[in-house]
Amino acid sequence: MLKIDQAFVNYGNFEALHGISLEIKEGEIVALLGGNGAGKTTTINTVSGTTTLVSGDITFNGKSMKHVPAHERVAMGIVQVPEGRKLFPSMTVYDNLLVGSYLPQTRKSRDENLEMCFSIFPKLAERRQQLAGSLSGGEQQMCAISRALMSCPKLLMLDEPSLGLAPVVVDMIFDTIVKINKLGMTILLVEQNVLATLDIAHRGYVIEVGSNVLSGSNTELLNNEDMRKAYLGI
Amino acid sequence: MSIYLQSLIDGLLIGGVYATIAVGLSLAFGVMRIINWAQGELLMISMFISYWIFTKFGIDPYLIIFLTSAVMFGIGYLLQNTVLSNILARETAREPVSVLLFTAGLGMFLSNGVLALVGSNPVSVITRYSGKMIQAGDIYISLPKLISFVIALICTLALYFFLQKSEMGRAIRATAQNRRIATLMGINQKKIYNIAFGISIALVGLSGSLLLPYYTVSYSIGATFSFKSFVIVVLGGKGSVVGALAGGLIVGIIEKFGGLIFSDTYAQMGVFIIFVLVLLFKPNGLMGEKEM
Repeated sequence: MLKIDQAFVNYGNFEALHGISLEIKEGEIVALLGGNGAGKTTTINTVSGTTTLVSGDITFNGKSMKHVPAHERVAMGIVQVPEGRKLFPSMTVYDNLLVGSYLPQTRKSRDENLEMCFSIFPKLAERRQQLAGSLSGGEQQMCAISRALMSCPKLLMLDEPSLGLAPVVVDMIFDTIVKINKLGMTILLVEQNVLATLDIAHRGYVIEVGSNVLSGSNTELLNNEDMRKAYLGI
Repeated sequence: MSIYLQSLIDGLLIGGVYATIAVGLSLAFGVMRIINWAQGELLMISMFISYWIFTKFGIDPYLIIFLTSAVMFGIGYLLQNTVLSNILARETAREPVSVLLFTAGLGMFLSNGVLALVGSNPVSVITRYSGKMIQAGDIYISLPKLISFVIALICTLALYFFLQKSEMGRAIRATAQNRRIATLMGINQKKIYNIAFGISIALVGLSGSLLLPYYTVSYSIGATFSFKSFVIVVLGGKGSVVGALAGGLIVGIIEKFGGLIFSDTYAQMGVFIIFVLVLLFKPNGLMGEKEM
């Protein structure tokens, strides 16, 4: 479904990605792991198109994304839940969700999508008239995921959804990701929480300072010696 | 006592039109983070267009608003689509300075252009509304000022509901709050900028036609209006429609009361004093959102 082939990205003179490659097949949950500054966020921003590719290519369902502007990628089904939630804080929860279905083709399924979001996260239904900025961290993450679901994603990319959340909330968010995947959405999960992530992902990629270092199925990664030392501390 | 009430009403009536001009400025600032220093000069252009149509074709000045709003929307849309967007594309700062310089230059270009083409003589019109008054006890309400005020208020409220309730309005608000994230929702930022700037300039077009029935226009009035609008936007809170409306009414009232108690010149100074006080003690304005 998505293929990143030798992606190079610069910020000014700083080369953030030097030749990242990865592939996601339809229906998978793929984990993208790595420490701070490894280039995980840059990778998914490059897929979203908010960061420009210097060389290499990204194809989505066989079509090169190189010259497709960011907003059109959303219409094709590439949707991101950004790091740190990034809701529109002075809009209500409901308005945030409606902005998620701004595109005309997503407006048609707006009511069903709203119903789906409120059934996954009943808390949001209670909070719908509240300003998004006044929600708790967990509720904000629920709202951010729901806002993305309103855009009818084919590929849903989540950037560190567990960041800054209490362990119980993290469990709930990860359960939800599995649920969403079972509804037929392909998922790219960017995380630092390695154990929890490999628990739900089918496969994973590990990157370090802008390059691939490891890839494999979840069990392969969990049993890898280097992986255990570097990320799991065992 | 009635003299104070009279000033209050006069202040509100002119303040409503100030508010409409300032709402346009506030919208452009809120969405695009640019300060349009040519706002007043574009207002002057709209007044001249209205003047020209009125004297040539004798159309009722309050019907001209449809034409001037549409024409000025087009000018704003094209200006952003062709020039501003290109300057913005090269800017990396959140609040681009080069666009501010561009609009300041545009303002000078427009006022000098009008000076060269039509000269420095102020012009005004006599319409069938001119001099008409509504009397209520000791209070006299100028009919053209009242009509202009009502239209200004209706249009400002219409814009408010457009921003709150429509798909496009929500997309504009989302872009104003975080343009990168709005892009991740499939919102075409350039299109939103074109429309927001178009609306901003359309409000100036509207206001020009609303002022013409009772306000004398000359090539040089732009700067005053630009600065006054800027004061109102800062007073009301940058990016807030309701704030700009309140700010416009307050500035109108300060001017009229200042004029009554001291003189018109001191009243103008009063507006600047308020401006400085707001910057010092309430930098986010009356209804401004905190920076995120």
